[in-house]
Amino acid sequence: MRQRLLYIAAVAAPVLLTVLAATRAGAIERNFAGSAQLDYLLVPAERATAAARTTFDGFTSEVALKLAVDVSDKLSANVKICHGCHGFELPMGYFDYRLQDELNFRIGRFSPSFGAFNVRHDPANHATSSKPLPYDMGRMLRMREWNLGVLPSPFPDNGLEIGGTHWFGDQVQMDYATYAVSGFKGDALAYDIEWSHSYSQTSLLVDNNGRPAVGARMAFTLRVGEANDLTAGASVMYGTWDQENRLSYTIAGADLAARVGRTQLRFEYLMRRQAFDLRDRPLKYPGSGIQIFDKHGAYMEVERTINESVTLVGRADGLYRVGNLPMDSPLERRSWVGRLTGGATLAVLPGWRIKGSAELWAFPPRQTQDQAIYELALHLALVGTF
Amino acid sequence: MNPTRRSALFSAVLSSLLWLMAGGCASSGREGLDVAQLPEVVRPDYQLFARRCSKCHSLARPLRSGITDDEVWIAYVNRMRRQPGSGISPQDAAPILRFLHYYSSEQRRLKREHEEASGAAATPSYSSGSGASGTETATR
Repeated sequence: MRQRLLYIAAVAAPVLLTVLAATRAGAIERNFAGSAQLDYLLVPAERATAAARTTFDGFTSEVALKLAVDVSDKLSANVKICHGCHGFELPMGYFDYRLQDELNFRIGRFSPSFGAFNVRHDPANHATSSKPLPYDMGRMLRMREWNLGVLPSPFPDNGLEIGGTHWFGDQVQMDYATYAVSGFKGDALAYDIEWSHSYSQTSLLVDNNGRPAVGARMAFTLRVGEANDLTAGASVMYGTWDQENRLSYTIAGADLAARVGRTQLRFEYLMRRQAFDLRDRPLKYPGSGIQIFDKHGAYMEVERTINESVTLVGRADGLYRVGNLPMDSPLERRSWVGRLTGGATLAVLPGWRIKGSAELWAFPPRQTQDQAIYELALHLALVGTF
Repeated sequence: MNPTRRSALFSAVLSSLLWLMAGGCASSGREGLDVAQLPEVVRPDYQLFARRCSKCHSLARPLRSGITDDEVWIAYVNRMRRQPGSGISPQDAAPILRFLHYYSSEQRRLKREHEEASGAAATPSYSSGSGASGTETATR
């Protein structure tokens, strides 16, 4: 705990000092914003019938506070601190130096540009309590079997990003970003990335192999009429996650989003191809040396604003994994999970909403079973912004 | 906790929140403003603001930001405009800022009236009857 606080203090201090200095020098503006969500997840199935399930059912809370400061016309600083399942976390602590809209340098700790969902990862910015499965970070049933989604969001890391945006006339917006960050990390002889090694609470938050991970994103937004627009994007990220730089991961994704009047349609697909090497540990299926697995994830979401108070949301999402495994893994060479979600949000006070959703999960049959396994999960949350 | 008790707990939580929802709906449960309550000249600018600024977050975020200074709004809108896929073009900035100027003026006026009426330090209050209906008196 002490190390965690020291780390947050060490990272946040330079940014905060700059913020204070800028304030004394007459910075243009400071802007505070934040959000809070309390969610209750109920999985009605008896625990005895789902012994392998590991789920954070019960109450969870996520609280975030963000400070943005325009130090000058070109330089700004952003710090965000949140508290959730991992305790205190510093998902943002960076400077933006913008030469023009088309050329911005971001330095510090941030989530590199990947996919469309990450800009909405704050619980106040999406209508369901849970994130889409490809981006799941701790709300999925059997999450430990799957080691979360394809790319659990947010995914803050330390590094540099160069990006920008450009409008072609008044109809087409182009965004791009390219970055180098520390990259994800894993333990020796592990078969998958240990996501928590990238979080602030880890005892030593440094790169484990000295080789940055790199990535890029490009997206186009086409405006069709006054109330409609279409966004298409593609992202890729590559790095190594072991100390010896032998084991690589590549994450690629494509996203498509359309807004037609009061309706938003979103589709996103992600795939992670990853190498692992268990050395002398037994594999579940024949093989030796470095093994490869692919983890696919996709979601399709429809969100309809009924009026100023009510929004309805429907989502279908899933994960599919192909590849070898450690002997003790409950997954098979080909494993999948699917989910259907229906939900609604209701504004109860300005800035405060209730979110309710029901999720129907499907898992493949196991051993003596011959039918898919279905489970129900219910979410109820109160979320607010300030 | 056995399933029956868990279901009972969920029902209790659900009932409480439904009661809260009913209360909220009856009073001030809305994210944006009531267009009918806005001056006609402001409505097109508000509608553009509402379309552009609800793509990634609720309208309550800017409306409850507490910002009442035009210079700050300029920086704020520019920051949002540069967000990837924002859909806010440079040409959109002027009408959005026009609306935010009007909105800020209303917030200042309401705050001033509230302070004069109460004779005390400004406290947040929610107005849903007239003027910038459905907006909060802005305080930082």
